[in-house]
Amino acid sequence: MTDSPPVASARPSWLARWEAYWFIEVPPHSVAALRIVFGAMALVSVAGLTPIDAFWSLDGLSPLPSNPNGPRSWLIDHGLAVWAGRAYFAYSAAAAAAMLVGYRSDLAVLATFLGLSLQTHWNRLPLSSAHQVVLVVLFCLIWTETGRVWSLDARRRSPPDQGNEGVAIWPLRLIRYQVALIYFSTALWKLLHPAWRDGSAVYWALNLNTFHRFPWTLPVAAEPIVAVLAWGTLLFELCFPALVWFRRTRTPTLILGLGLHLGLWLTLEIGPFSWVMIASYIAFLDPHRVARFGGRGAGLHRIEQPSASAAAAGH
Amino acid sequence: MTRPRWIVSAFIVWHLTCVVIAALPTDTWQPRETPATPVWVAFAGPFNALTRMMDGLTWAVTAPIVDFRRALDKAVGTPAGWYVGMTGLAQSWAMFSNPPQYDRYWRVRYYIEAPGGRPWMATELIGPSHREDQVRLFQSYRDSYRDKAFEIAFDGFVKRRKASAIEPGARPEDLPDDLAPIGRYFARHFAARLRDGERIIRTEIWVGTVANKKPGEPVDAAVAIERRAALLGYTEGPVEERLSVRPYPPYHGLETEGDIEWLLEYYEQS
Repeated sequence: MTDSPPVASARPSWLARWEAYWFIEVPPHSVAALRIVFGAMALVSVAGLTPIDAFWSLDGLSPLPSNPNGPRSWLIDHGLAVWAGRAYFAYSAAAAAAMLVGYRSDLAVLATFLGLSLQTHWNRLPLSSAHQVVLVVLFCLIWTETGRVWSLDARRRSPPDQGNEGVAIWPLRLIRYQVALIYFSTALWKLLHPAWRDGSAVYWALNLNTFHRFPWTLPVAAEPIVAVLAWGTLLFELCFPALVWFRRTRTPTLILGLGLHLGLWLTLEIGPFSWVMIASYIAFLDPHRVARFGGRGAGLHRIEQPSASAAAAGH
Repeated sequence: MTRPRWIVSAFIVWHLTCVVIAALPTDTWQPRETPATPVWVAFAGPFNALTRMMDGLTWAVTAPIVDFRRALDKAVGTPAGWYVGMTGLAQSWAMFSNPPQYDRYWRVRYYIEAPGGRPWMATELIGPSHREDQVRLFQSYRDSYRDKAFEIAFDGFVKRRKASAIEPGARPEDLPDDLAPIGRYFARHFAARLRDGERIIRTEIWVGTVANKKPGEPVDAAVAIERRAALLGYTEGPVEERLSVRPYPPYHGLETEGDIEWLLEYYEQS
């Protein structure tokens, strides 16, 4: 998972390779793009968790307090179940919005992460894997400066920040490892169950009345295609970490993943999961290309260019 | 390497170790000895061969991973557990790993006491939150959160319910309270439409299931229409029954509507 072009050189020590691999500086545009997109995802998720009184109020669709002396019990006992929920909703929405627009970006990312973390304890009932993906990505973003470009913070600076200074790549790499782990882990879970091994899992999923997007029965003639899709999905997820590692296979892998998640979104109502996974692919894009895409390529000369040792750490 | 970079390096190694432990399936995760049963009628030959191949792949892949995770867990499992717990990074990626082979429905039944009048009851279909005979577009996005809440609550309920509690005379205090928020939430909304003096004296949560047809099986149109007719009865809101109020059913009592089998899973009385 490197973004450095191969350069012929003497073989550096493992320490130099390690340092180059994790600490090389890259343009800040990738982490800024992740902040924007995941801020939007967090905002959309908060909006999905409405009506407020159902999912945020402690007397809504929320587990009963297990500890009679805990904070949730205290809020309920003092008649604050509804207002605390509304305040928490407002906090979550404001934090996600601040992250989206890049207002006090670093604080906004931390605040959104804390808000989402707390939600697991406040009301875990409506939370899906999408929530978990946002959480693990935000955890990595906490450690970098996401507001250097494409943010209100950058505009407020005088002179405005053009993103000429780089950021360390390691938070971005952590996201890559985390996303690869998601695919690998889900494939392992799937291997366990006969429905994935016999190729019927996608068939069953498409027929679920709480998930199917279209209320039509799958034609019998289409069933073999569905079987191939099941095996294909399983193999794709199992091989994702390896395929995305190498530069040559990375782009086709991401395109396949895009197809997989768009297909999921088109056929199943699974909340924001598909979009969250697609958004996480930003971490796999070459940060220099993302910066050029943002029209800031001219200002990148001050960022450390990939060194020979960095290149050697890659493939 | 500078000192801060050493510290960050240690953090990176630690973090990745912890999330690997958190994400890989747990010790209870073991390959099932039972091979998958071929289910396909069309292309049975190649598909069955592929199924056998996937079985083989499973045994080959899972054993070393189980060993690897166990070794990691033994070395740093406890502090890693604290770390992922405190940071909120505990993670399970088992979504759709075992997709249900049945449709599920949810309904709440209220028994209402009227002052000086006959008691009556009403039954409300609360799940799926979005009508299953309509295309899911925008509203279904929000509805998906409600359905998720039902499923997670029910999973917790089933896990915590003692087998001995499943008997006709089971009382609410014998049952876990995971479904209580659902019953109370909908009862509160329903109570808002009651007349003065009327009050809900019992709330029941019924969970309905219908096995989905297996691959290659034809659709039974008559059964499908019957189910749809049963569900359409609920589309205008709670169905009131004022003339004949049934006696309270026993716990885990069964009712059928079309091909839906409803089981009384939880109730509360006041």
